[in-house]
Amino acid sequence: MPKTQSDSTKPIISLQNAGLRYNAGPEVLKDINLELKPGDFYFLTGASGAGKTSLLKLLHLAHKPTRGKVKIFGKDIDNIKQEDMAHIRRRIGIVFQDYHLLDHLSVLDNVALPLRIVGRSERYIQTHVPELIEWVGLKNFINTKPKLLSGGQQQRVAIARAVINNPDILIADEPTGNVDEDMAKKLLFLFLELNKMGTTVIIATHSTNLIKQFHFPVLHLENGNLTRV
Amino acid sequence: MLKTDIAFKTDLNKNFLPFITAFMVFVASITFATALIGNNLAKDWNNHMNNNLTIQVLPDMSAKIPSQEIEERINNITTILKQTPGVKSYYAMTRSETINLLKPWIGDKIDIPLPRIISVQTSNVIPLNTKTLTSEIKKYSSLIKLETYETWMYDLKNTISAVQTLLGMIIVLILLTTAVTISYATKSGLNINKKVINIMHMVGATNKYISTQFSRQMMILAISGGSIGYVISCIIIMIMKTISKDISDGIIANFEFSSYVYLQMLIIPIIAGIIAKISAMLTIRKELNKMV
Repeated sequence: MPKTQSDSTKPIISLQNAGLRYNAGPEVLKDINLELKPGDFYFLTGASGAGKTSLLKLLHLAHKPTRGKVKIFGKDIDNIKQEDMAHIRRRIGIVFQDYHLLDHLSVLDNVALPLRIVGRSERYIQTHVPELIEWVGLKNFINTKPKLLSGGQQQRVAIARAVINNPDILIADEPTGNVDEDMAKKLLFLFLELNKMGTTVIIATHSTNLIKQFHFPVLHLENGNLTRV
Repeated sequence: MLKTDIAFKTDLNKNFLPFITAFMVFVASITFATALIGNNLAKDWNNHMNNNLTIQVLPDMSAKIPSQEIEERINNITTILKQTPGVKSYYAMTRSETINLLKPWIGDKIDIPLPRIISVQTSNVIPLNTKTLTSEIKKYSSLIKLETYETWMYDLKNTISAVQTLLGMIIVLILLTTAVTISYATKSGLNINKKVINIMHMVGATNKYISTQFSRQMMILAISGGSIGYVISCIIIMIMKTISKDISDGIIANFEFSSYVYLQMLIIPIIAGIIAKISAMLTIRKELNKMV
């Protein structure tokens, strides 16, 4: 799907003094200020429990901040209607830490889900989806249910689903956590290719190897505070 | 298009929903068929009765020779019938035919005067004025009774109409119960699929998209169950029809109806499917709005 041309100087996501707490618990994100522009590529690091996943949830609209502002594609998320929210989410590819695959659907149907939602034809799906599945090394598992796959294989399915729609923003939570080094590199090159086409990429990772290899700016979270490294 | 693009988990509803819809459609179809067949029977009787009337000629015991006198009156009446517009044909039962008719009750050795019956078939095209006919006939004798079945038919029609209204209400009640059951099944289905729905929201599905997919799946389940209920009800009715053929001369021998009834009954599983879709759609939209 061709990406809409956007002004590269304008942020596509901006957080202003954003804070997040779950129910009456402590604040897990504190005064986050962040702007992501088209074509940006960031790694997000931090110890377990530092708030990485929570920050990513704010970015893909799974949560609203308890304070501060979040704007996405120029729209304040407080004022977005459900229907618009769905259309915004179609422009975001997400790789969840626990994959979030649909167990009762095959690998092909899982990857094809975003395409079916936007109304792509079966012909298009049957041409493009197997190609991507083959690229992530799961050609022989195209009709397999996710539960029969290893963690690393499920992760690759999740990645394929996140990128199939050529999103404007790709948010990935530990996308290489369960794959070997070669596959991790291969997946990172896939993200790079998308990034070259204008996709903004933000990857939460613990892997210092990847960070060293790819030399992209790093955002670091510590006790809910975000710093640039 | 009945196919869903995305199948939801249907562990609970896969068996429950078709079963409950099959049962509901079965009961509703039998009720509907009863109403239809009743209506057809009433129409048949109505057509039959509307074209027939009976003239009962009672013997005049004060006459010198009652058996001769009655024959004269019958001749006079048939002469009137010949000239009356709206009378298609008539038949006056002979004395021996009347004796044959009464033989089972009073034997065949009868030497008393007997009432006689003239059966009249009226025209479908030219209306018969029964009042004029009665007054013309009564000029010859007051010992004549003209029976048009109007009062009897009026009561029958009222009874059938009341029964049909009751059956209609039962069908509406069954369909409402189906709607409520489907609504609850949908809610439980949504709970089972909460994770699926959450993921679909995350990858950009609108509530409309999810509710359309989900309700379509509910409709498929309801139609498949409804079809089973429909087929079973058709089999039951066919069996009843076959049994009724073996019973002759009774009222049940009129349990004859055209195969068109089976086609008319098809409306029930179709309505059940539509109710399933609408009921599921409304429930889903309400529940999804709570989720987001």
